[in-house]
Amino acid sequence: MKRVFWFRRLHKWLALVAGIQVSIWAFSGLYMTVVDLDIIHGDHLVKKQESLPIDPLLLVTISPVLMESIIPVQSIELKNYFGSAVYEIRAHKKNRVIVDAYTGELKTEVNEQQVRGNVAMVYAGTAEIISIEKLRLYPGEIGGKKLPVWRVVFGDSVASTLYFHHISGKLISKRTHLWRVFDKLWTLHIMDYFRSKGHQGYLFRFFSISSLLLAIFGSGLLFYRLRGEVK
Amino acid sequence: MRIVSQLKRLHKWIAILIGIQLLLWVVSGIVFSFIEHREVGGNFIFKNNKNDQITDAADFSGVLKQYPQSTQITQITLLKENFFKIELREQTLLQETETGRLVTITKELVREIAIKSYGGKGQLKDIVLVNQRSDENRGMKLPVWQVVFEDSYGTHLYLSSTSAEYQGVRTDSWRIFDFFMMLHFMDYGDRGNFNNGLIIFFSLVLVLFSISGMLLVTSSFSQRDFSQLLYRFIDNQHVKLRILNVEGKLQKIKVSKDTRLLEALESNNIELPSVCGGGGICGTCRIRIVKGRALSAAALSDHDLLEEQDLTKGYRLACQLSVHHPMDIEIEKEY
Ligand code: FES
Repeated sequence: MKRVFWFRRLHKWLALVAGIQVSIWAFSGLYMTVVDLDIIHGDHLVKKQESLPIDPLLLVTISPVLMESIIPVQSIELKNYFGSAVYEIRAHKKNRVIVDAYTGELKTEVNEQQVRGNVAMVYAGTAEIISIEKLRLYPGEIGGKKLPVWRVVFGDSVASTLYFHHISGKLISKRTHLWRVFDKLWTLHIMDYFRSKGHQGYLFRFFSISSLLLAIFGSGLLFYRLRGEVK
Repeated sequence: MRIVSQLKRLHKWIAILIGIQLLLWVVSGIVFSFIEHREVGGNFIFKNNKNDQITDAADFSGVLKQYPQSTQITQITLLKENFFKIELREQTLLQETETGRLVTITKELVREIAIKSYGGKGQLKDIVLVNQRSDENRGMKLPVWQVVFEDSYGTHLYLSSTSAEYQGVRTDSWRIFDFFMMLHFMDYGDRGNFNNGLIIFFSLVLVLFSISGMLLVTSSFSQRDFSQLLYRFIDNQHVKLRILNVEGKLQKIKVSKDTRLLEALESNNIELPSVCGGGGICGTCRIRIVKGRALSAAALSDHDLLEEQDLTKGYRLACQLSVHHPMDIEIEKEY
């Protein structure tokens, strides 16, 4: 059979196999390029971070007794979360201890009042808070860690959500529907349908190689057509 | 109704417009799925020897007084000494906790840190203070210390020139990955940006391309294309055709059921002219059905490319017609 017949046939059948995935790549790619990444990240939701307005005269050094209880200490960070000065001590295995830098005492959990105060300081939008609650675990959209977290949802059109640390009250994450859509589309784009490590690669390879063949046979057809005749 | 031909023309023009980028997208996608992502990151080449343990908390008040504009101050250890890492908006500094002296990051210090953390199977070859912006040090503050290792990964380690902090690892896999990222994101400017106008335009056109392609898939498949496969592989059925050419020569042939007439003739060595290879675009594969049930049906492309009065006379495109019942067919050209 003539070569061009084969090209036509293969192009047609490959389009049947890979067409839907190519369309998914096209639509998800368009969304991801059109919506600005900073907006996806929700950077517009929060005010710029201030430098440390901590009073050096009130600063307390961490007591040796406390230091000995957190062996081994990897680093000590002096931070300012919304006007409260804290030391964040990083220990082994991602353990963290948060100490009030003015009293030297271990920080206890923030309450709703304090979270509201933190929202007022950090939130740059104008929408009302429609819910504020303490969750027992991180929800999936911020990584599902087994730690409590404060979630604040705003009444805007993209359901903007801010997450705050349960002890320090620090802003942990920002999510909007724009992010949630992006996340879903990303999964579709890299064909990570089963959210599993090993297998997704084969699926992706199968479809990307099919589309390469689709494109190659398509180019062949284009070539014959532009030449205007069949050999 | 010329929708199908219009779609095909659109599909062709888009292919001309974005064909090359389309190939680049697919090829880079394949590269991403085959490349060793561990080697792209390169972190495994370095030991994660955490800083030494801090036993005594330092007094932060002095350094805080000195740098009230800092965003964070961290006490760390580096090669067994205690330091404050002072993060300012523009840069990060390192200060000895004991003396309050700022640390200059010398070549010797960089060497010591690099050798201590390197876990690969090569030799440290060179240490250079790099002042020139390049793809490798994109996003790092210049000048930056570059440590070159002679190993199979082509490892470069980057350390900050003000704080000796880790800035990144670059390997040959990273270089390949980065090159294809540039192609995939059409990111030929400052880099690291996939919200550029060029790629938005091309993505939009790709969406049109895939929509037209999917519509063409639905219009170019007939049910018989699928049954044809079955007949071919499972239950080989044949249909008898009688072919008349203009000179009145008659030929009887047997063809597999539900194949397209153009291909069926082709496999009986009757070559009809065809420019588009059976795409229903060129109209050159025209034949006339003299007798047979197929007379009643005409495909979309038939309506696109043939005149109504010709259709009633029995003219059809051979490439659009699936052979299901016996037919008498007249062809114009000699064969
Ligand atoms: S081969 Fe071109 S229309 Fe049939």
